[in-house]
This record gives sequence, structure tokens and C-alpha cells, in this order.
Amino acid sequence: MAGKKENTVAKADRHHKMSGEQRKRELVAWLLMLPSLVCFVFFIILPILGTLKMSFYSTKGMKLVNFLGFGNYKVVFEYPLFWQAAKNSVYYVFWSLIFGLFLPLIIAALCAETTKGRSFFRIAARLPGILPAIASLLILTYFLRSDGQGVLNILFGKIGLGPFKYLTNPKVVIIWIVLSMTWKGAGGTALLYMAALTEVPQELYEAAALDGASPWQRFRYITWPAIKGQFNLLFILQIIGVFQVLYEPMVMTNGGPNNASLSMMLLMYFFAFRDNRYGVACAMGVVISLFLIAFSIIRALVERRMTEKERE
Amino acid sequence: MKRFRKARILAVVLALSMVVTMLGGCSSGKSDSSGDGTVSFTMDGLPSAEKTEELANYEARQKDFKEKTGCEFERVDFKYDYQTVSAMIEGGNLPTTFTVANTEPQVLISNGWCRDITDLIKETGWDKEWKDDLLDLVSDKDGHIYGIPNSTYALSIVCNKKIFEEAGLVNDDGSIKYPTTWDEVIEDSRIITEKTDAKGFSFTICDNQGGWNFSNVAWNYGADLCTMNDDGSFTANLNSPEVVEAAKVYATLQKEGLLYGDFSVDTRDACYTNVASGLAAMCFGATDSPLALTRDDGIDMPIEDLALIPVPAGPEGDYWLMGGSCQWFSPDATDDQIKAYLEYRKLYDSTPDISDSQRDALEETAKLDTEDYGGVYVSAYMNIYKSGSYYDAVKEVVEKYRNFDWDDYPTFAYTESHPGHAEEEGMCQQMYAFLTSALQQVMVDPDGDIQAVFDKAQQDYQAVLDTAFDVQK
Repeated sequence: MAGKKENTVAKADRHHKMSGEQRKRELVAWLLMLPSLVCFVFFIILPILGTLKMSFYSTKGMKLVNFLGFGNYKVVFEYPLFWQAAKNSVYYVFWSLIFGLFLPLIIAALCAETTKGRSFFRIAARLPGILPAIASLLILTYFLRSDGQGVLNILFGKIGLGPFKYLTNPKVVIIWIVLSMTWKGAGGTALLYMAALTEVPQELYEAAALDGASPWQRFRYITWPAIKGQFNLLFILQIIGVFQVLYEPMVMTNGGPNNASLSMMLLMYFFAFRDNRYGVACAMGVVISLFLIAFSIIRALVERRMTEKERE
Repeated sequence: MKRFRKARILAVVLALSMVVTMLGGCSSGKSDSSGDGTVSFTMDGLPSAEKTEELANYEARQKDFKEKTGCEFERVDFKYDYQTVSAMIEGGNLPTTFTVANTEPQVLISNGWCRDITDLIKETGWDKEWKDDLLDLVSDKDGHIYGIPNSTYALSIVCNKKIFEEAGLVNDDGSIKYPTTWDEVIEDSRIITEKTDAKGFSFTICDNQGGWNFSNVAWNYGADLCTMNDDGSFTANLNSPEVVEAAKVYATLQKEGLLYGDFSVDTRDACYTNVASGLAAMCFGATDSPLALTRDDGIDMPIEDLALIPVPAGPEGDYWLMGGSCQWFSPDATDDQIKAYLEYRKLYDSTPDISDSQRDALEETAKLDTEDYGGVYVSAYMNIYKSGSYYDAVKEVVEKYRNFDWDDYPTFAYTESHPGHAEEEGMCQQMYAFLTSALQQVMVDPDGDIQAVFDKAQQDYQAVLDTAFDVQK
């Protein structure tokens, strides 16, 4: 009995010693992580908390003055352009899903089908993404000018057509901005699909082709299963990313004409840096976050239901 | 084991030093004096490397200032931008003193982004010599002073004389027949478009500047865009018949194809280029535009092609919108730094009475602008003082270096005989934003219901004013 007790005490002692050692190791690990943690707190946590706090205050410059409760949120929701900006942001997402999600898919699928010069097409698709964002948008703005100086209108003029309105037509301005974003970003997204496709042996395509599978069948039964996971991930990232569209409309149209391309983020920017109403801008930021959280929850629920159905 | 422990200690020390370095980066590390106790300050306006004459002038002035006052100054690459200034102010990254447009002082004061210089200015007595509206502009409602008026300008119309001549818009005595009303602008634009390869006008309506320019047109049609009520609230008036009539000028020019450029993309500078290169005959500008238009390191428009005329009158008014600039100070500026800047100003810049070194500085600038860079020296021509010798000296220097014909710049004489108009009360930038949006809609659909467009602008702007008033209460 005594031996058993001694054994237990020795075990506990050893355990105690192990814990001390482990604690020391953990301490070192935490110290090593300290720079990252400081960065994380400084650049992520504090701004989030600061934004949340500021959204409930009136401000003088960036200093908090009076607690307003939901006063700034009232200003946001009663702001005449809020719902237009929300509607426009949904349009941005819609058109970006049409162009921005499927075009890279098509590029990746075509590259997968290509046997000669694949590297060339991969690099070519990525090239617009290498250009600095603002510079490329300014160039595109000059392409899309609605007067006789726009490159597209000059080209159309050569065949006796136009001039057409692109960025000055409220009905299509968002589509043109999304096309510009897609031109720039599609190559990068396509690379992600292509990376997934590298795991598919080329022989599969060749065998399928020999068996008489059509390009659509090859896509449906070989390409699609390989990239489905990437597609799901990019789908949600695309919604979250495009819902926060800011600098494209800012550079190309400044939200015009007549607010037809005003996005929620651009409206938030205007609240902060045009009107110096930082409390209102923070409230707007919180509202945008809530929209995105709602998107993410809906998407997660849909995916869960789809997975369950597949299992059944 | 020993080596492992050493490596572990080294890693922890390195990690901690990273944290300390990061935290150290949070301090602005600014000082108002160099190590030997010399007072130094910074200001905007660093000449770019390729402007060798300006750089040489700046370096000579730095040396001269040190010799005369024992203080130092340094110019930095900073240009005031209302969209970035808030972050720079809060981050303590502003120069000690810098120039801001006259649209800004009240915004800066209301946000606390200012430095009270009342006592220092009162000692100089300059505030008594500034024109009253300019003193009000740089003061708060309690009379505290935060800035120093630098200049004023009048919104005007930039014209390409050559196009007018080509279109036959010439009086019997050979002088150019410039438009004096907005109806004449439309008529002249029709003639220009028909008889030359150019169009009549070039508009910028890509940002708030569109609404800002339009407010002058609307005043001349009799509009009063916003009024303050007794309780401190504001009543907008963006949909009055006068505003709609003013907007019809834009609609007519657009509908009849009399405009050059893309109104939603072209900035003010793009409009200048359109006029300078003979693609459009007119655009909005100001009395300080000629220098930017003519300097050979800028747009380089031939001086003989440029004319500057007043904003055309409407049926109910002949106002000109008053703009300008003033000197502002970083909230972190010390008394010593501001005193040093005031000394700088007494030596090289504008004060009510002029000294010999200020006269030399004026001549240096005029010579640089005209002889070295081939431009026009006229920007300082509008007086900001009630009395004093400075303005007389400016007039003398302008005359000495004048390389243009006053007949081509009728806007200067006009401002002396016609009333200036300050910006509207209320949330001015918001008002310009709503006017800009409404004008964009007018340009997109010039045949549409203009009244309905401005009804919507009125409803939206009033809602913004009301909500702001409610929340403030």
C-alpha cells in the first residue's frame, strides 16, 4: 500500500516537474510569439474595438466628444444615399460573380485543355494583375472615356460607330467597373484554379479525349471535381472582397454619375475623409461588417445543407 | 543543451527588441529646435529637383534667414489635401506651417485641427489690416485667430483667344467679343462649334468642384442655396426655379453638343489642357490660373492665347465666387516656431506693410515665374489688406514684369466693381456633393426632368442637414 502511495507521489512529482518544464517552454514560445501578438493586437484588435467605440460617439476631428448611443447609426440609415450604396454594392457582387468568378474558371479550363503554349497563356492571363492597381485603373478610365478621346470610342469611330457612353451611363457603369476589376484580377484567380488542376494527371484528359469525351464532358467530370473546393472558397471570398469595393469606383467615377456607382465602402470613405464625420464612418463600417457576417453565415448554412444532401 | 539554451535566450532577446523597436516607432520624435538650441520650423512648398532656379532661390533664402534671425526653416514635400490631412494631423506628421484653401479654415477649426495664434498675431497688429471677411475666415466665433490670409482670388472663366478670333467673335475695334452672360456663352459656343474645330466649353463635374463652380452660376440666376435659421438649423434651397434655370445652361450646352471632354473624368487641370490645346474655348478657372496655364514647366499655353474673363452674369446677379488661401499651423507648433515663421513672413512674404527684403522677394518670384519659367505673374494681384504699402508694391512688381495685356484679363477690373460672394452656410462640401450628383444626372440626360433631379437633391441635402442638427442637439 505504502509502495503504491510512493509510486503515486513520484508520478505526481514527475508530473509537477513536467508541468514546470512545459510551462517554461510555453513561456519561451509566448515570448517568441510576442512581436506577432503585439502586431495582431495593435493592428487588428485595437482598431476593431476603437471603431466599435467611436461608432457610438460624436467626434471632433478623431477625438471622441459625446456618447450618442445609436445616433451615428441613425445618421447612416437615414442618409439618403445609404440604400442606393447598399443596392449598388449588391450589383457589384452580382456582376463580379458573373464575370469575376466564371471568367477565371474558363481561363483555367482552357489552359487545362491546352497542350502547347500553356505557360504562355498562364503568364499572359496574370499580366494585368502585375500592373499597379491605380495606374491600371487610370489607364482603363481613359480607354472608357465617353467622348471622342476614349480609346474604345476611337476604335468604334474607325468603323463608323459610337461614340458610346461607358462610365457616364448610370445603367452600365457598374458593369464596366466590374469588367475592369475582372481584367485585372481574373488571371490571379485563374492561377488558383490552375494550381488545383495540377493535381489532375494530364493522362486523364488524354484518355477521356481518346474515349470520345466532349470538352464539356471533360470539364464536368475531370476539371470540375478537381476545382470544386477552390470554387466554393473563392465564391465566398469574392462576395466579401467585392462587397468592400472602394478604390475602383473612387478612381474611375468617384461614385458617379449621380451616385450610380457609389459603393458602401466609398460612402464610408466620404463620411470619414470628405465630411470628417468619423463617428458616422465607423458606424457605417460596423454596418458593412454586419452585412458580411450575415453573408458568411448564410453561405455556411447553405454549404452545410448541400454537404448533408450529398451524404444522403 | 547549452547551445540550445543560448539560442533560446537569443531568440527571446531578439523578439523583445522587436517589440521595443515597434513601440518606439509610435513616437513622432519631433522637436522645435536643433541640437544647439536654434529654433527651426518646416513649411510646405519644396521645389522639385528639376526646378533648379527655384531650388537655388530656396537655398539662398535658407542661408539668408539663418543669418538674419538665427532661426532655420526647411521646406518639405507636402501639399494640403482635405482627404488625407486628418490622418496627418492626428499622426503629428504635418509641417509646422502650410497653405490651405479658403474652403478649409472653418472645417479645420470645427475639428480642432488648428493652433491658436491670437496673441502672437495681435502683437504684430496685422489682424487690424486684414479685410474683415478674411479675418472672419481664419477666426472662430469667439474671435480666436488660427491662420494668416495669404491671397484671394475670384472664380473666372479661362478663354482661348485664338478660338474666339477664328470663330469671328471680334468687336469692331478688333478686341475679342467675350461672353458677359450665360446666354451669350451658349450662343458663342454654338458659333465656335460651327465655325472651328473646337467646342465651346469644357466642364469638370467629376467631384465637388462641379457643385462649387455651379453655385456661382446659380447665384447669378438669383438662387440662395442655403440659409441658417434662428435655432441654428439650416434650410436648403437647391430646387428653386433659379437653380433649375441655371442648370438648364449646362443641359443646353450638353444637348447641343457644345462641350468638349468627359465631364465625369476631366479634372480642372484637364479642362485647362483642353482649353490650352485649342479643343475647347472656355472653362472655369480663377484669377490665380494664368501662372499654372502658362509656365513652361506646366501646361505651357502661349501667353498671347490666354484670356481671363469674369464669371458671366445671369438674369439676377453678377457675383464672383471668392476663393483664396491662408497660412495654417500644425496643432503641435510651438510659440517659438510660430514667432520664427512670423519673422520669415516679415522678410519674404506678405504683410500689410512691405520691407525692402519683402520687395526683393516679390521681385525674385516675379522674375522666376516670368523670365525663368515663361509664365505670367499676376496671382498676388488681388488685395487682402485694408491699407498698407504691400499691395502697392505688388502692383508695381506686376507692372514691371507684365508680359500680358490687361484687356485680356478683364476679370481683375470686374472684381473691383462687382460684389464678391462667399461660400454658402451649412454643410458646404455636402451641398457641393449633392449639386455635383444632380448636375451629373442633368448631363447624362439633358432632356430629362431637371426640376425632379433638383427636387431629389433638395430632399436629400435637407435630410442630411436635419439629421445632423437632430444628432447635434
